[in-house]
Amino acid sequence: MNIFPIKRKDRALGTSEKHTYDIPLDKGSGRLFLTILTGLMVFLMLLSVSAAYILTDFAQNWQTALDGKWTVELPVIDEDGKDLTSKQIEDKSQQLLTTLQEFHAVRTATLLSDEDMKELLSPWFDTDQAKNDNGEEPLLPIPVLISLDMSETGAKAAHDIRMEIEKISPLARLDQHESWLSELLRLTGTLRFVAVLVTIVICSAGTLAVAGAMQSRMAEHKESVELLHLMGAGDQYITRQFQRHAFIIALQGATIGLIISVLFITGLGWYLSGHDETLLPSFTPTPLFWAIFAIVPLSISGLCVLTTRWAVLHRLQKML
Amino acid sequence: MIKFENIGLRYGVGPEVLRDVHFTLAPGSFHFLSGPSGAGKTSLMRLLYLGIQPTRGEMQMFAQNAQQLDRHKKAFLRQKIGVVFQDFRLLQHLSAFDNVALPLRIQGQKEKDIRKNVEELLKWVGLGDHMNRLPHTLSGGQQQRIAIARAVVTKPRLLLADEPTGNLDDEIGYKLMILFEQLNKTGTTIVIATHNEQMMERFRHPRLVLEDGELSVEDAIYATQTKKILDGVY
Repeated sequence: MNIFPIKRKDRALGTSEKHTYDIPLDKGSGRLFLTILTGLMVFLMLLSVSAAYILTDFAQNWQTALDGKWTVELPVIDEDGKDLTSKQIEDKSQQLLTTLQEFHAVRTATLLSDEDMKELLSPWFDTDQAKNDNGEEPLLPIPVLISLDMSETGAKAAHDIRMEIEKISPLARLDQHESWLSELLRLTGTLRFVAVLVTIVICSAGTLAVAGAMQSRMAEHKESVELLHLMGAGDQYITRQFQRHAFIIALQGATIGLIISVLFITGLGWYLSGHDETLLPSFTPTPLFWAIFAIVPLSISGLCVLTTRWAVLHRLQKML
Repeated sequence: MIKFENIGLRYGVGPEVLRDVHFTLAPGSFHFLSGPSGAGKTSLMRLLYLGIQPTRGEMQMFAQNAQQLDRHKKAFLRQKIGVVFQDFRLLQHLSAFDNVALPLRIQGQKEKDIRKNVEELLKWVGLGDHMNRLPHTLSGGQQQRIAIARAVVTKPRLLLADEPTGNLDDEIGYKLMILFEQLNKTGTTIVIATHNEQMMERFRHPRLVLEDGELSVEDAIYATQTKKILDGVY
């Protein structure tokens, strides 16, 4: 039975959009704020996580490159501070090289050539100026370097080598690279700690901001929330609406943040591609690095959802 | 059964707006709630739909002490109550269809069943051609019918209506009262807050009369006689 006559009117007028939320969360002032916030969180987190990852990679590269590599340095002066002649230098170099090659803990010993030395010193010196006009005598007392690939790297091996090279030249010195490498590793460790700290600060600040934003959205839609309550909607039903809303916004913001981060890091990589690799090894992104790029936006979105859940449930508990 | 015993209500530190309210609503009963403006009708309705807590007394709703229920059970209890608000309280971003479907979605019913029930009900209240319209594009009377359809769509055990015919012309108001009567016959307990003497005369049901925060219960015949005496018929 139809108790009211149906009056045909224009169906198009005021036709609603597809049903999305019971609470009009997609229409409100806070949407843009949350999108920008999550985008910024993802961008900053990806920068700090990338920095931490790259520094770890550098530290590992340094360690691997210098693992079992020692250097013997032979100054080109005698005990009285007088310059050695080319002949004297060559004799002492060969003597040292032969001794070291025969030493039980040394796998290989290589005398660095003039070309190797030029390459090594090129970041700091104009190596052409290191030779006199005849090209025979060095203007600067550039030491002779012998690179060692060690089969043993213990304290005893170091002590024995020192004893052997002292017999040939009391000024010869063994460099195990430990001091500067440990300083460098300590520096990278500190920078990694700062990156992790920045990540924690970003997460904490972002969490607080999302919680605040969601509570203000709750206040904005208080009447709708109360109405749902009066119709028998439980806290979980209402919370799910806010969670879904937060997830969609966070994912949009996170995608924007991800795109900007990829562009920024790619741009930075391109800008630094011409740098000298003597100090900074080149960095090639691994699958794990890109996996982090995928995980961070999803984690931030997840964090936004959990924060929203907590904030909304907390607020609902205070309502009737 | 709904039973209020010595219910008192005050907002904040203000005076009591309801004092020692005591009444019982039997299952399937039909009552009008009347009284002058400011007598506490809306407050009593809010208590009935569990929108507020009394400051004293005891409320029994469907054999449960409503004040001692946890949030989950209270939500479940509210699903048994349909409410027609005086100001409709429709969600303006939702279509007429979605407004009416809302209580069914909250109850977790299947979308297929929801569509069938809501379409049928909207056609029945004369809004079959306006299902996809947003409330603000409809007239006051049409919005009121959506509010009523939303309140009755779940076939609630208790239906509360605050001035449900206030914005309707006499004919439509009469038809809606018929709808309430039919719902009542299926076992729904109904309480209608109204000032409309003519309607209360026409549909003779007991009255809960609120005056200055105090409630008295009058049966239909007594109420009619009192009215006639006051009107000078006798």
